[in-house]
Amino acid sequence: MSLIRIQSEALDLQEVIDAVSHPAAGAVVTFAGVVRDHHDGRRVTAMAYEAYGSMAEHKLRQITAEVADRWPDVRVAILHRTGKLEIGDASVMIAASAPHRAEAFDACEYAIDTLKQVVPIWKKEAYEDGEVWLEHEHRLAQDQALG
Amino acid sequence: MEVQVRFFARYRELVGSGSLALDVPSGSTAADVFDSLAERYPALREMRQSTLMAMNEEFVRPETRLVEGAELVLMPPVSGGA
Repeated sequence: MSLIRIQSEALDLQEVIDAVSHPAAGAVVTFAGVVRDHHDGRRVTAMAYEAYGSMAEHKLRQITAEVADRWPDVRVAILHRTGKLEIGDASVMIAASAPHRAEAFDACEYAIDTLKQVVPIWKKEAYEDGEVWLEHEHRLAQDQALG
Repeated sequence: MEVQVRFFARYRELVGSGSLALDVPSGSTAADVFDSLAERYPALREMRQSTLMAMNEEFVRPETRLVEGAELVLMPPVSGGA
């Protein structure tokens, strides 16, 4: 079973690396999403993440199953953090391992791209003068979530 | 029939609660429930097209019918990741 978890504690990159490493894996690709200090020209001071926890873990589990279907030799692990994060804190960490690097890169990219479309997690950006919920504004949001 | 409605993120703040019970006519769809709520919370109206709906931890289409005691989750487009 792949490692997936929604947690309020700080994320540990070594944990996702260890979860996918094995003797036949010649490549481990990792992705860390980090809170940055600007958005659309505004200075960001912090970020708060809220998740529909049980469904978010269910959707993460589906993503790991899809990865297993598309790339049978790939192992993937995904952690996502909730709560208030500071600039530089990681909000998401993904590791994908494979015998060779091409599949590991592809699977890692697929996992983060899909996560951003279908996993029920939201972020609220704090500025020096207020805060705003970020929502992907495309009109196709429903279709993307429904697959 | 009575159904439960849960809210997340901006919707939770707009409604002022994470969940509420709602009495709706039998055979109501998820869209009917949304429209009923939008009468009570007009700020929801403009979000009709982008609202994500879920039941039993899966996204559902607005035309999905609810049964007595069902839990419908309403949420804005997701924005997790980095």
